[in-house]
Amino acid sequence: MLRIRGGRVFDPRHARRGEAGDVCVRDGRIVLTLPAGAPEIDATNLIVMPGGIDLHTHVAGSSVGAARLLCPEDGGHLLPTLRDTGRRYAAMGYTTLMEAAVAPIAARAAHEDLEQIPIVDKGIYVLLGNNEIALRFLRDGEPGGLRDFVAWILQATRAYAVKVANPGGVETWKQGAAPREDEERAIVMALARAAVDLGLPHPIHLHMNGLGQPGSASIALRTMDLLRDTPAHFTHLQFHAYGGRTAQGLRSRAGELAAWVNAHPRATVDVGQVVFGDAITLSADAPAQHRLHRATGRKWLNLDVEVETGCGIVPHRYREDDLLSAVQWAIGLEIMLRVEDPWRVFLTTDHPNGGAFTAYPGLLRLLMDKKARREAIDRAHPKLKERTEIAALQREYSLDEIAILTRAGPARALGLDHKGHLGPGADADIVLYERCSDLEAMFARPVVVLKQGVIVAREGAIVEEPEGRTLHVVPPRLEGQARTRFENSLRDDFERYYTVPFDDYAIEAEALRHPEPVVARPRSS
Amino acid sequence: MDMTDVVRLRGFFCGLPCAPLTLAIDAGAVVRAEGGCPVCRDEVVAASRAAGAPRQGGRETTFDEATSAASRLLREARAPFLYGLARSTNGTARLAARIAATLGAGLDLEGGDTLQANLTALQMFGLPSATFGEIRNRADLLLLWRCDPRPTHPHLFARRGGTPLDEGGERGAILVPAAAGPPATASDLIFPVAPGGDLAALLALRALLGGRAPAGEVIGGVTRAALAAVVERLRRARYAAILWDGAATTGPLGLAVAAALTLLARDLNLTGRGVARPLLGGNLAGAMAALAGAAGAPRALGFLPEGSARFGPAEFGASRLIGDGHADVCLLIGARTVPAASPSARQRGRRPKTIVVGPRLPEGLDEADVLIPTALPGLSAPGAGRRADGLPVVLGAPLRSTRPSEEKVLEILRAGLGPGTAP
Repeated sequence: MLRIRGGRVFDPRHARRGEAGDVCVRDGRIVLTLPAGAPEIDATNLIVMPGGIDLHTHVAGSSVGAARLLCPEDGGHLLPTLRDTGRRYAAMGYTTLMEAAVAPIAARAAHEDLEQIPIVDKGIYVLLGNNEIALRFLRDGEPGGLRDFVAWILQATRAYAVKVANPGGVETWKQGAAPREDEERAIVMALARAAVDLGLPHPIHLHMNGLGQPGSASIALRTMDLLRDTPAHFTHLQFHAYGGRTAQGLRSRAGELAAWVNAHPRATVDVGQVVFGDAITLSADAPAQHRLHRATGRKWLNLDVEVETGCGIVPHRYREDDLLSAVQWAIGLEIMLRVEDPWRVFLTTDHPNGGAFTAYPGLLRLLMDKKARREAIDRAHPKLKERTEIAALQREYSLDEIAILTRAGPARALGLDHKGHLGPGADADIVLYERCSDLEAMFARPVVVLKQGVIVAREGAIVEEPEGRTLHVVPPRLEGQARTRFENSLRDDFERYYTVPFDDYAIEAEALRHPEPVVARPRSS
Repeated sequence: MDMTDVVRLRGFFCGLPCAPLTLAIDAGAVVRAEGGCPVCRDEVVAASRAAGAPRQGGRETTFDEATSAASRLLREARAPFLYGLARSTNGTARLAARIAATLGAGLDLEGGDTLQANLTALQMFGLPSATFGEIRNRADLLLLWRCDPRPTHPHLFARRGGTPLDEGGERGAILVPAAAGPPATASDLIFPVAPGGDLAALLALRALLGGRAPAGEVIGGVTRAALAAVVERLRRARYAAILWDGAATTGPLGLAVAAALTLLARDLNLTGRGVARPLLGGNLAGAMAALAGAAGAPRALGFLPEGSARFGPAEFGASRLIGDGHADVCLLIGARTVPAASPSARQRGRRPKTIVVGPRLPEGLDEADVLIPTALPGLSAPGAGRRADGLPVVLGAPLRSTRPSEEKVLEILRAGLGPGTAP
């Protein structure tokens, strides 16, 4: 039991916007009241928020492991050890994260890694946008088969959501063929529909075609229009908001994309903010990574993954005095400042693609303080103001909006009813900040962080390392003979096309140490 | 012979997706192995023949006494070193890292020195690569550099398998014969690079592929015509796969050869698709991933007293710490061989004390100071591993064993070290 007494509570889901009040914790959950005499933390004048949620990061699994081998020069900055990953997130008040790109065939490795990350709760998104069995269902005009396959693979991999990265484009690159736009569109629509029909808590998590290319905004707007009536999450939108015809001519089209988001209330986005300094780009969008390698000459690791996807890794540096980097940096901020509803735009750096997640406190400062933003703009390449409209944006996020952007909003987008708020029944993942003029320092070093009611960090130092839970969805499944028939047909596919035995592919429930299932709610129910 | 049981499993000891093994079991021991590949067959048979009782100071002892003695040796060590792990589970590698962190010890993988050339090439240039299934399904050309896995793994490399979106078909192969390799397949294009000519031949291939003419009529032991024929095949390939094993990248030019193979594959992506892969055995890929995730680097780790680790192939590799005798106590975990002492170490009479935790006594060691026999991961101890291409492998334990797992022994040893700085 613990009472956090007298803090300024920011709980947007319950319309608490900084009024003084108590937050009560029992057995790891928020409760309405506690008996008199319960242990207390005096939070007078402290800011109280739910734990932060990073709904798009890359911290575990084969691709991150490969990046560790590729980039020893990183020295643990962008690729900390698994233990330090959890400690760094928790130290700045983040208590839930989602590993955003896992090849289903490598899901075991991702879960194995995630279980080494202490403190935080976590889950994985599995890549399906270039899965050849999924594409075959699509080509054969079998939407029911595709839906059943999506459900099967989510269950088999103990995943939380469906990730789609460069739909169809990775497969055509592997074939050495030209992109097939009709097929790309069909994949997006079919997988988005399957996610809706299955009642998944999070819609498709879509990394669109054209990432990082001048003119990517046109591709993005066409794709987003396909899904104007279907729930979808558009990830790292910054990398898709580019105008111009060449890298040298890159300019912002963040305004158009933000306007689209503002006009379509079913859509959510995360930003994929660029941070000046070193980055390690790693993505299932293998052709985009090959382009980056060709453009920059930096070293390049690629892995074509049988039947399912690809992976590319290229280290990169975003430089303040480089116009291209500066435009990318400004576009991310523009998106966050121009999307009006903070419930539908979320802060990410697409760690480590745009930079480290540890940059979040500094980025929050830029959103909340237009003077700090102005100074940062003035430090960047002088032509930045010609290519973006960042300098004209006057918006300053409030603390309430920050609590939405980093907590309540991601929880709602993920369909995590017990996270991102401080109402009864919620996980007691709580962060206490001391308000000070240095907002970056405030967000970087919370006074206290609680995970499920246990104090895990004080003043930025980790004091406890409990194990976190694995969030995974339980989709509706075929039963009986229909299931047997379906699995037998998949078994045949595995024998022909995979080098992993079918019986080893599905992850048994007991393989997860602390599973936390979230049951899907299909439309028919 | 009274056969009491037959068990089936997939061996992971070769590092490839191996064909199923069928084992005949008599009195708990593997007496015959069929299927799989020679490496996997030999592993399971050899593990069964190994001594089963713990030993200390040359005499049989109890398990408890052996683990107590091992913990004591480690606690008292001035320069402890952990070595092996190449055929152990990922969990064993993580536990080893924790023990090394507690002790402030060095840690390296068996085969790490051989691996380093490829690792350095990777860290310099990257590597375009693919999983084995992708190579099986898509590659229309194999360039087999001083290796030929086709006879031992015909299901993987014999014919293009095709994908769910595409039929399979024929594939060609260019073979650079190993010194003592299997005979070539009739349809192979033989590329007879002379011993020691690998780097020159690879550089010439890259030059020709890039439209430049290398100097000389015979390069690396092969004629310009032979070079041109290989380049022509590489140019025509839609998806070429280059494979090599550790033997190709050992020796003074090993790093340069590894880099040239890597860059040749990279060049192929300018016009088509090219992938490359060194063939690692056992669970090297899993051990590297586990160590990198736990300590930040995949091998040759030196742990500081506060638990953090440094990567130092020259400082913390086995050849220095065992071979040159800088370690005073070695914990050998699942090791199959031990580096030989260098002449200077022999001269100085430096011989580290040895604790062996594994299914058998490593070659090169007549007797350990403490021997704790264990079950064999993937046969009689379960766990997780990774194939050479990084994909996860489930290590089953179809054969019951009275021996503890390596993980179990390490947990006991760790507990016996008392509180340390590591988590």
